[in-house]
Amino acid sequence: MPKKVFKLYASCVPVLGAKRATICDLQRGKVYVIPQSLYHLLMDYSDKNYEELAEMFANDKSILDKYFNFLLSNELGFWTHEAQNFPPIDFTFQEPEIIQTAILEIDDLDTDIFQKIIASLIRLKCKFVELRAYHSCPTSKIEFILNLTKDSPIRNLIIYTQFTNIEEVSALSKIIGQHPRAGSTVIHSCPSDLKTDFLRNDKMSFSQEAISSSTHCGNISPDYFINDIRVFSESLHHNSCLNRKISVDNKGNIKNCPSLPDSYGNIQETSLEDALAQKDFKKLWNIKKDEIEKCKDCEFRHICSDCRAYVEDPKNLYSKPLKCGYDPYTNQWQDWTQNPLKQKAIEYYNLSPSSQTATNKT
Amino acid sequence: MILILSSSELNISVEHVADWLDFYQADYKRILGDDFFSGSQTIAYQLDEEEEYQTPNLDLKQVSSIWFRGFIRHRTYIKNTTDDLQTSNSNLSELSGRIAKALHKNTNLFFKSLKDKPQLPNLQALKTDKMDMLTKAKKVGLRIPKTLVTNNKQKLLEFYEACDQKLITKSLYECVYFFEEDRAFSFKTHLLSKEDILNFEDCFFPSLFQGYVEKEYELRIFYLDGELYSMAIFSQLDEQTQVDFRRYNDEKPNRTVPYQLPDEEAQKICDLMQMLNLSTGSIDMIKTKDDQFVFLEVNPNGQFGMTSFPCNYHLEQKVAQHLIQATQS
Repeated sequence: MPKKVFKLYASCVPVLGAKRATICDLQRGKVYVIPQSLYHLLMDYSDKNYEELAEMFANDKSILDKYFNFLLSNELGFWTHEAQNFPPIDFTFQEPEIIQTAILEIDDLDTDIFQKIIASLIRLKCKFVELRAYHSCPTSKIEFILNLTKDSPIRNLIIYTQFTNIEEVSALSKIIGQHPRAGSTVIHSCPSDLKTDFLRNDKMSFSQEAISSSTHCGNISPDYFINDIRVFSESLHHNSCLNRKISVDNKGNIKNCPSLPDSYGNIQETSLEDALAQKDFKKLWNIKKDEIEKCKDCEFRHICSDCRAYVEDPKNLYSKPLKCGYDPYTNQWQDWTQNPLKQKAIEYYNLSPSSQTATNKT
Repeated sequence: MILILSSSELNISVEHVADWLDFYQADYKRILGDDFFSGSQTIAYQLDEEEEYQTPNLDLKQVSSIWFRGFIRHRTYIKNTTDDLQTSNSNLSELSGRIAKALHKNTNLFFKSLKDKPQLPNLQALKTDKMDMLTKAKKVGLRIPKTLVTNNKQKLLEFYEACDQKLITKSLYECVYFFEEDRAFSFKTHLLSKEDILNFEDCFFPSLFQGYVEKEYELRIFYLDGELYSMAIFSQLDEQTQVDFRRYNDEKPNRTVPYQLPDEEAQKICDLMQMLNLSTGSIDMIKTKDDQFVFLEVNPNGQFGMTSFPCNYHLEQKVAQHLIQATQS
């Protein structure tokens, strides 16, 4: 019988960073930060049994035992004498939809134009739609859009809208409660003394922060880590924000993302399909984390989102996202808005510091 | 045209396969068993004329391949008939049984009219019999658990000893879920103690018993036209899932990872599926602590999303491709 070697469960994937590493548990959605030495133990000595390892690392046997204790108690791996029967997951990324996510800025667009937009999104098999109202938006407009998605392949709509008054919020709460495709709804710019207990709606949340334009997007934070097989495999092959995304901004411009400068036509004259067919529409879709400066050395790169609209060096397509406060070379999270090296880019994008809040983890 | 037969219950695998058929721009139509009762499908099967099963809203000649994912929930139609009926429970149960049989006969007529088309799985092989399956598994060289069907307490006690006092019972027929407002019930696998058996009547409802097989892990294998996609389920790490992994632990789900079945076992599975005339199905096996593979059962219509997603096998795409290829051949 072959010797017993240690094998990580295929859904627990080690990712090496500049100073340390992670094990991304893609099944249970957890990420474990590990030292590089454990990463190398798992990768370079995977054909050794315990006795061999104990002999090789005789001086560090207590560390070795600590490592295996950690791996076993978190159920990240197992000892087996049939390692060859446990192949890794094939992280090929294949999805049937042409567009996965659409972002629609709804404040300034006429209600009628949404018939055209949603009809296109249905043809493109779009699954998720984000409706953004930076100002107060009539509930009837949101309801009209929601109704257009009935019996469509659109599975979930996320809504951002500005607080106006309690009556409007109650009306909206009722509508999204009745609409199975309406998902999480964020009411921004809420007064600090707002009482929301009367609204019994799990889908709705309230924020005092103002979301007044697309410059609020692009934050990178552990809060946005998604630790699953789809996100991980998409990140290995494509951009983890812009791939299969389409947007219509407040002026009707069809873009990959509302925060990006390039427009591929106006929705008044151009269809989403025609915009998508243009040569450069997908030019950012395949910029991978493994190619992005600094991100490529980050141990969180494949569970993290990305942003190509706001980057540290606006002239470099492969520059690190501006709104990321993590440094993979020091393993420190800092407030990106305060970083002196980022001030030039902050000025370049005209991001007023008061409107930007960094989500920090130390 | 690809014909998808499914029941009205939400079936996420059907949605995903349909997405892929759309992606490949394949021509397909989805009909529900319920369509034959709601009026959206008309049936005419007249023996004195052409002896042809006619469905005027659906041109069967256009059908080039068929995918079957369930069809009818008997309970819907039985409920319609019995709701206003004042009669004894025994009459009601006899009536329910008869209605179910009549529904089945009608479904069979429809299936027969499709018999010359490529089918996934073969419509005539759908209703598998566990004992027949186990007998054939043994024939192709697969190991099976010690198995007994009996109504007799004494026989069961002898079998209990023969199985080293570790015994399970499970449904002789297929599993089913019963939904109440706040919870669901289903047929699952139960471990039987000697005390359980001693509490039985001398003669009880004929039931299936098997020797309990100590697992290192369980295997769920999706078979599609000669290809195997296997997954190991580490149900033994968790007491809640040791006897039946379907007693899911949502907090800490069982580890489910891709598995490469050794060639020799894979060949036996392929032989069995051919013997059962099944072009697809989900196979349950156990890998024992002493390195034996033990076959439990095949479900021709088993869920494969649970294998596809954690192993990233893209089975929905493969099923769609298979249906399209069947159309072209």
